[in-house]
Amino acid sequence: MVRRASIRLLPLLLLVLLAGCRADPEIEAWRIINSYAYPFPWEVSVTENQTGQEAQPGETLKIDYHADVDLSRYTERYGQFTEIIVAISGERRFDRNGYYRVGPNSYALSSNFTAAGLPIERLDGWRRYRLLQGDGGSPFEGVSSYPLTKGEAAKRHQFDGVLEIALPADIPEGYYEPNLSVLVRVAGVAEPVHLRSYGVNWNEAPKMVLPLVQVGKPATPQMPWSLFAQEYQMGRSGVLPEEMKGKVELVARSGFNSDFILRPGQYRLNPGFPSLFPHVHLAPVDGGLEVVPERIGHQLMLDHGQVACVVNGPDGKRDLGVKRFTGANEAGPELEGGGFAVDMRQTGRYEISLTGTVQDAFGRRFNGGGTYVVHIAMPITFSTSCKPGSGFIEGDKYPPKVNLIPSVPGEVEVVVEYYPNSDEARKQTWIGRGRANRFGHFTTHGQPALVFTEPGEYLSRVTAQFVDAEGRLWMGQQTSVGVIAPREPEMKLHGTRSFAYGNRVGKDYNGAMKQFRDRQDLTTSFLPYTPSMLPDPYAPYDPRDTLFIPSNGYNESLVEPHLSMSFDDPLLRRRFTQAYRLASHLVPPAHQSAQGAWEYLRDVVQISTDSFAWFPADEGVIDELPILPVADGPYHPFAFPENNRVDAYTYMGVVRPGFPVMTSIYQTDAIGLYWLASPNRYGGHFNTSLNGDLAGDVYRIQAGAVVLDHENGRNYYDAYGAAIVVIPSDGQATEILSPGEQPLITFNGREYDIFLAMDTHDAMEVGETIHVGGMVFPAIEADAVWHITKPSGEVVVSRAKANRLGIARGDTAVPIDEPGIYSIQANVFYEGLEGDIVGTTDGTFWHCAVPPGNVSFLQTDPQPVKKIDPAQGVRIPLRWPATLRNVKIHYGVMMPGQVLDQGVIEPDGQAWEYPFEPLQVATQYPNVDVRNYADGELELADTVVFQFFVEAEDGDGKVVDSLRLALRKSTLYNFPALMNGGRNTQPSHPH
Amino acid sequence: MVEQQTQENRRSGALPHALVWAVAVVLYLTVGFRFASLFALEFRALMTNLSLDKFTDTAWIPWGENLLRFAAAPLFLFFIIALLYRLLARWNVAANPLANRSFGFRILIGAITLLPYTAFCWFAAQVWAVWISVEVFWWIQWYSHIDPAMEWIRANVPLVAAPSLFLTGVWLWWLAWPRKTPATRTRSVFRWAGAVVLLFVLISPLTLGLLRFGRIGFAPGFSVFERHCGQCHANARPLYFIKTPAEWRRTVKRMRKLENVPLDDRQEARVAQFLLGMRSFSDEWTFNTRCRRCHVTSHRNWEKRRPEDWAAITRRIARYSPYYYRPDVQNQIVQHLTSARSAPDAALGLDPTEYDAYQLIDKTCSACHALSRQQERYRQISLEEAEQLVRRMSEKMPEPPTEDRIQSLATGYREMIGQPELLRRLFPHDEPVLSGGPSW
Repeated sequence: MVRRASIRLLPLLLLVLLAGCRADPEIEAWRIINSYAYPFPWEVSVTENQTGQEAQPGETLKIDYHADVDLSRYTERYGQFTEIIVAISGERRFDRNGYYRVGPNSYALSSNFTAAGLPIERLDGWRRYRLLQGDGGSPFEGVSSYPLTKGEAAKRHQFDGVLEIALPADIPEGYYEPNLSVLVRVAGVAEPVHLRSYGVNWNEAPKMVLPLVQVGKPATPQMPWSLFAQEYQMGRSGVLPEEMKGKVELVARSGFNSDFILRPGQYRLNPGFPSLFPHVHLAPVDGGLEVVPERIGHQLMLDHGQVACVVNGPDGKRDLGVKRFTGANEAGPELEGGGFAVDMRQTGRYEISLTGTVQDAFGRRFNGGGTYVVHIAMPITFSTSCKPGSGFIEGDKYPPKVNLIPSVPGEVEVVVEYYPNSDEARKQTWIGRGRANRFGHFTTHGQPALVFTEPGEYLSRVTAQFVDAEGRLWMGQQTSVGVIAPREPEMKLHGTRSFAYGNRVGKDYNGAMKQFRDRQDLTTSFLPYTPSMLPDPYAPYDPRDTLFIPSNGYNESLVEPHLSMSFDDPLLRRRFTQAYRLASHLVPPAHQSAQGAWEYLRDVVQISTDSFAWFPADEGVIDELPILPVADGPYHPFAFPENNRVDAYTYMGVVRPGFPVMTSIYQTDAIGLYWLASPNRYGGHFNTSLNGDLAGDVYRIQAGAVVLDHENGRNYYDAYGAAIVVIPSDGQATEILSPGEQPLITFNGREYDIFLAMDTHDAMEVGETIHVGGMVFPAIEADAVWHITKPSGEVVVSRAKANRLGIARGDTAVPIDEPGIYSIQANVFYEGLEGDIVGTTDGTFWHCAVPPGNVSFLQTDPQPVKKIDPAQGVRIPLRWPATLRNVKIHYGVMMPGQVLDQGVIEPDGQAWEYPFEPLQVATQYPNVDVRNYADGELELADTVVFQFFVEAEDGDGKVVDSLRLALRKSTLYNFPALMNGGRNTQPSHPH
Repeated sequence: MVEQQTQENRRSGALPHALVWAVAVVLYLTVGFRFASLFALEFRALMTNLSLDKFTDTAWIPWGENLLRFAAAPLFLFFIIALLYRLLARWNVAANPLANRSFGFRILIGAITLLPYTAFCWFAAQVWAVWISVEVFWWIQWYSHIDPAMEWIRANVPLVAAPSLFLTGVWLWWLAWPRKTPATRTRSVFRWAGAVVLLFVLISPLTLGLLRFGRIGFAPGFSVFERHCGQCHANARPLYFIKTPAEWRRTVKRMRKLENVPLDDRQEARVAQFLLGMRSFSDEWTFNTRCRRCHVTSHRNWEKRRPEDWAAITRRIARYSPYYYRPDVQNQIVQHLTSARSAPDAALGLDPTEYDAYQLIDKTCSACHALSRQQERYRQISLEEAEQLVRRMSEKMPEPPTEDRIQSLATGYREMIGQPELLRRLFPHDEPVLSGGPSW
C-alpha cells in the first residue's frame, strides 16, 4: 500500500504532512509548490514512495514527476528560454555515524570547523549541480529537461518526466535530504538559471525538500537538540549537548562561542531543533536574519516522541521525569505541560541530561539530546586588550590585560590556544591565571608572554568568576579568535570596492570605487517594503579608510562587511581565479534596468550573492577574490569538505567599544551577513540599546583570512582592521573617506580626525606594571606617544608605531613603584594629523595606584546592586574620616572607548558627591543612550565606570584610596558593598 | 411658453453645444486626466512596493492604472457638460439637452458614468490611503509607531474612502442633472457651497486626502519625471520614500550626475519640484508637525528671535529624538521661523549687550551642559564659586578662555543662573524633555 502525502506551501508543511501521512486516500503525491518563484511559479508533484526511503551506493533511483511551470509572464527581455530543467540535489543531512552535517548552507548550525574548533558558517547563493555546472554539487543528483520551442515559452507548461539519480558507488553513506529546483536554460548564457532568481526575494525562499533518503547503512541519526534557544543573553542563544562538541556547533553572530551563562531564574526546558527551526537559534543581530529560515521542511512527527530530563545542579540532582512531544510552535517543538519547569535561581554550574527520540512520517527514529552544561551566574563583562576577532602580526605578543565589570577581585583565567600554521599537532596553550585586584584589574605579572612567532590561528578565552559575600556566583566569558598574519603577506586581505550607486554592471565604475562621497542618502520607506536597489556599503577596500554611515533609526543604514583577498603572485592569482570563476550569472532583478534586455554576467567572481558584488574574472588584474574553499571534484566544498584541495575561511569580529556588534567565521559569499546601524538589538549585550547605533558611535572591523592550500602544502594568512563611524542622520550620504578628509567624531566642540582608543583610569596596586597601547582610529600606521608622569614627577616616555592593523603597543612598560596618580598624555600623529583620547582635552588621563593591602577608608552609600532612574541619574556620595586633611579627589568617568568626565576637586569637609545625570551627559555625548527612540521611553544602555582616587594627609602622612563603581544599563554596581555581603561599606580609619 | 423658449434656444445653433463638449474635453485632458494619471502613478507606487513581497503578482497593476486613468472620465465629462448646459440654459444661450429626459435615459447615463466610477472609487481609495499615510508619517515621532499606523491606514482608510468617494460622485451626478423647478442663482450657489463644506466636514478621510491632493495637484515636472525616472528603476520607486526638500534635491542631482540622466538644470529642478509636491513637506508644514504638536496655538505669542537663536533652540529639542528632529528637519524649522518670527537684532526686550553676553554663555556652556540643570545645582552660587567653576570647566575646553573671558563668563553665569524665568525665556527647551506632547 502506498501512502500518499501532500505539501501545501512549506510553512504549512508539518500540519498537512501529519494529515496526509495517515493514509488519506485523496492525497496523491508530494507536491512542491514554489509560489516564491514569481514571476515564474512552478509546481512539481512527486509520488512519495518513488523518492525511495532507502537506497544503496551504486544504485539508481528513479522518480516520476509531474511539473507545472508557469512561464506566461515571460517576455523577450529575459532572453530566449530553450529548456526547462527539473533538478534534484541531496544534502547529506546525517553522516554514516548519525551526526548532523551541513549542506551548502549552514543556517544556525555548522559541522565544519576552524583549526581552533569553532564552527564555520556559509550561506550560499543559488544551488549548483555537478550535472549542470560541473561543480558545487552533490553525489545525490538527478536532472531532467523539457525543451522549449522558440516563440512558445510564454505560457504554462505541464509535463511529466523522470528524475534518475545515479548514486556513485563511493557516495558517503548517510541520510540525504533531496531538494527540488526548477531552472531554465537561456540561449547564449553558459549556465542554467534558477527560475526563482527572476524574482525579487531571491534569498528568502524556503527549501523545497522531499523526505530523507537513507543511503547505505548509516547509524541512527543523532539530531542536534538545543536548550535555552529563546533565552538569548550576551550574544548567545541556546546551547548544544557536550556530546556534539566537535561534531556540530551552533554558530554565533554576536560573540564567538563560549560557555553558556544565564542569569538566575526559573526556566522551562524544551528542546529546540536548530536544524529545523534555525532562526530562533541566532541571538538577534538585526539585519541578515531574514535569510535564515524560521523553519525548514521536514517529515518529523513532532507529536511522536518523548524526552527524559535530569538536572544536576549546585542544589543537587533532580529527576524531572519524562514528557511527550505534543507538536510545535513557530520556535520549535513543544513538550506536554510546556516543558520541564526547573528552578535555577541558585547560581553555579548545572549539568542537564536531556535525551529523547522523535519519529518521522515513515516511523524512523531520530535520537536527540545529551548533557548540557549551563552556568547560572550574575554577569561579568570585560574590557580586554584583545577584542573578539583581533588580528595579530607575526612576532606580536598576546596582551592578557583584563578589566572586569563590575570591578570585583574575581578569579581570572586567560587561555590562549595558538595554532602555528594552523597545525593542530603544534598547538601551544598558554594559560594565565590569577586574581584580579580589588578594582577588577588583571594582568599576568612576571609570566612570560605568549609570542606569536609565525603565522597561524589563535583562540583565546577569558573567564572570570567571583563569588560575592552572599554566595552568588558572578561569571563572564569572552572568546576571541583570529589570525596571526605574516609581516609581508602573500595573500592580502582587504575590503571590497563598493559601487557609487546601484549596480549598473555595464558601467565603467562598477566595482571600481575605493572611496566615495555622496554615495546614497538612504531614507525611510513609508510603504512596507524597502526596495533592495541600493547595495549595502562594504568594508573599506583600503583599511586606512573609514566608512561613514548615518544612524537614522529606521532600518535603512546597514553595513555589509564583505572582505576579499588578492595575490600578487600571478600564478596564485590565476589558480584561484579559475577556481572561483562563474561562467555566467543573472544580475538580480532589483539591479536590472527597468527597461531593455536583462543582463547576464559572464566570467565573474562573486564576493556576495545578495549584495551584488561581482568582479570580472580577469586573471591578469583581479584583486578581489572571494575567500572560499576549493573542492577536489564536483561536490560542494562546504557540504562535502573531506577532500578539499583548499580550505578557506574568514574570521570576523566587528566591535563597538564594549561589545561585539557582529562575529562570524564564514566563507565568502555568505548572504545576509550584515547588520542595521539602527535600530538593532545587538544580541542583548550591555552597552547597546534597541536604538542600535547613535551618532558618535564607532566600530572596528577586525578580520583574518585563512587559506589552507592542501594541494601545495602552503597556508596563507592575512589580517584586516578598518574603522566605521556612525554619523547623524542628516540626509547626508554614506561615504568612504581617507584619513583627515572628514572628522571622525565631534564631542565637546572638539573634532577628532584621528584618535586612540585605550583603557583609561585603571586602578592598580603598587607592584603592577603599566603597559600602554591602544587602537588607532582609523586603522592607520600612526605614531603614538605616551608621556607618563609618575606621582614623584618622573616622566617616562613610551612610543609606538601602530602596525598595519592600527594597533599601537608602547615600547616601555612602566613599573608602578609608588602609590598615587600616574598621569598619562597620549597622542597620535599621522601625516600631519594629530589626535588623542576621545573625551579628554588634550589626551591626558590617569591611572592610579594604591599600596597592596591598602586599608580602605573611602566610603560610599549605594546598595551593592541598585537600579537608577534614567531621568534623575545617580549621585554617588563619597565620605572619609574627619581626621584627614588636604583631601584631593581625582575622578574619572568613562564609557568603553571614551572618557566622559574627569577632574580633580579639593572639597571641604568630609564628604562629596559625584552627580551622574545621563540626560545631561547625553547633551555632551550624543552616543550615550538615554532614550529608546522607538517609543520615547527613557532607557539606559551603556556601561559607565566611575573611578575615584583620594589623596589626603593624616597624622602619619600621606594616605590614598581608590573606589570603582560601574553602571551597566540602569544598574549601578557597588563593588565594596558586594564584598561586604550586601551591606554598605563601613567607615574605617586608614591606619 | 417654456416650450417656445426651448425651441428658440435650439435654434441658436450648434456652436454652444460644440463649445460645451470642447470645454469638457479640454478640462478633462488638462485637469481630469492629469489627476487621473497621478492617481495611477500613486497606485503603481503602492502596488509595486507591495509586490516586493514574494507572493504578489504585478501583472494586473497596469490594468488597475488604466482603470484609474479612464474610469472616472465618463462621470467627469458628464458632470462638466451637465453643469455647463445648466449655466448656458440659465443664461439662455442654449437649451439643456439633458432637461426633461426620460427616466430610462437617466438610468442609461447613470450606468455609463457611475458603474465605471464605482470601480474607480475602490482603486482611488487605495491612493487616498497612501496620501493620508504620507501626511500621518510626517507627524509620528517614535518609529515603533510608524509601521502599525501605516498598516492601519492602508487597511482601513479605503473602507471609508471608497464609499466616501462613491457618494461624492453620486452627489455630483445628482447635482448636475437639471431641476424641474430652477432655483434662483443665489440659492443655487449657496446650496452648492454648503453641500460641499458639509460633505468635506462629514467625510474626513476625503478632507485629509484632499489636503495632499491639493499639494500635489499642480506639482510641475510630472511629465519629465515620467519620461526620465523609469529608465533604470521602476519609475514609481521614488514615491516609496518621504524626504525633506533638501534630500530630494540632493537625490535628483546625484541621479543626474551618476547615472548621466539627460536632464538640463531646468528639468532637474522640475523633477525635484514634482517629488517635493508628492513626497515632501514645506518648511511651514514641517514646523507644524514638529512644533505645533505641543505649541498648538501658543506659537502665535512667541517673541521674535535671531535666526541663530532659533537654530540653537531647535538643536536643543533635537536631543529629544535625533531622528524626528534630524538636521534637515531642523533646517526646515529654522527656515520657517526665520521667515516668520525673526529679526536680526532681536533681543527679547533686553539690553542687546546683556543679551549677547547671555548668548555667549550659552554657546560656551551648552556644548556640554543643559543650563537649566546647572541652575538647579548652582542657583545660589557666589561670584567666587562661579569663577572657580568656570575656571575648572575651562580646563576641559579645547581652547581655554582668557582671564577676562573667565571673569565675564562667571559674572554673566551667576546673574543668569539666579533668574529662572529669564533662563527659560532665553533658552527654551534647555531642560531635557521627560514627557509631554502626544505619545506618538
